[in-house]
Amino acid sequence: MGKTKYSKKSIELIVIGASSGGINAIRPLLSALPGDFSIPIVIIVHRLKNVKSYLAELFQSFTSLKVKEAEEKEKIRSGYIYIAPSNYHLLIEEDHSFSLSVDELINFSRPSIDVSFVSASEVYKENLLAVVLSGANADGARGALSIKETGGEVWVQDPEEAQVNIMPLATLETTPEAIKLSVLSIVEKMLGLQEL
Amino acid sequence: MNPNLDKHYISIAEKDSLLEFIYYRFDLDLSEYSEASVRRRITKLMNTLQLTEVDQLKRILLKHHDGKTFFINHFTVNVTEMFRDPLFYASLAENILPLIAEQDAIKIWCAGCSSGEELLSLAILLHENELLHKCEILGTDINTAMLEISRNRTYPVRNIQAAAKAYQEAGGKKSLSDYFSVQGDSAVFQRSLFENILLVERNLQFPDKNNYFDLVLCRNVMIYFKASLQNKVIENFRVSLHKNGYLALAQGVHYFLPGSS
Repeated sequence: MGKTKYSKKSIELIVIGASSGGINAIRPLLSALPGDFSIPIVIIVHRLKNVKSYLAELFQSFTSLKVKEAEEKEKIRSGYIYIAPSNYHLLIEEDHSFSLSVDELINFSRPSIDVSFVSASEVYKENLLAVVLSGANADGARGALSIKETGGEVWVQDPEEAQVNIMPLATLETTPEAIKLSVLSIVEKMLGLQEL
Repeated sequence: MNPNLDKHYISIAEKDSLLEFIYYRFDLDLSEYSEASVRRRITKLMNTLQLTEVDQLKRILLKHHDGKTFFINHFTVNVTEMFRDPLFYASLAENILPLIAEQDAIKIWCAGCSSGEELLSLAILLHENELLHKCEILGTDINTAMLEISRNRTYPVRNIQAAAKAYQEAGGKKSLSDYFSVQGDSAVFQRSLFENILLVERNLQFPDKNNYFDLVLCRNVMIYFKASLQNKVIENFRVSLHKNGYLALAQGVHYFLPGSS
């Protein structure tokens, strides 16, 4: 892929949206991150409600970075990977803490990727990177556009590689400036972010 | 189409301007609500009304015959469901109810009862644990439209049928359909479930010094408050609890034994 020229802005938060098939992309992604990867990551996965979930444990098995469910009022910290809790929308406050909402389903989902993307875009603006992975609905597509509009970056898993291509395709449609990448390329570019 | 995200998201300055207006006009202080949700809800209201400027919303609220109620009814998040987090109800039945069951009268406050699903879930749980007959239940919410819905005990039947599994996981001993009748598209819950329930409008920012409860439930309301307001509200709850009363919040039950005052 070669080195790309980045502008002076640095990425302060990475938000990842995924649904069906997304975990197959998340595993190599998290596994490749070094233990000193300093940019916090927030992952919004469409999840079942009302069931005990082992998602945090599963993701923790991929990485030495600290994985946890996001808690309301918790400040976002370097070295952490946060997962949006089931049956809540995950918002971000100006002081970089999390907020929860039990608002209506958006794109049939709660947590909704769109909700978190838009919320993050308002706070982090050009210092935000969003990654859209495999999934079976268009959640994330509108939020990705908001992120571009506030100056952030959007990467999308190559629809040809994604297990379910609907989510990546939807984002590529709303957000033509989004960059289409294989998971390996996403990994490589993400590692490159820290060198800035 | 997504009404939440189609138009411009209001800025912090616009939000502050609106909250200040609402405070002075309606004596409603939303400054200690979590800002991200406030912005989101106001943006949604403006999109629904097809407005692009906060000043337009102010004019609408000024002209409305009951702008405060209109605003509250649109602003608050009211989404709720029967037996949300079923393990919470199971835990309540197993761990808390036995501790308050011996009393002649059990006073319970469901703070932020929204459209009533939580009250019904609680009533069903109490009924199946043979406690409902000696309970006095207070259901409160800041949203009067939601209180009206609560009073009607009527919901889309599809939503209630979807809750059948949650009912079982909450420890339901019978069948959820035992408690309602189907009329057209609606599920109408038995009046007997609400015999001991009083529904009243209330703003949690203000303490209730008149009642002492054995159990206060406040689930998924505090998430919309800043930490400062959460602390005030918890203090208000503490004042309302009996010496050995319990406060139950979302994501786990908090065992709370306040002092004797």
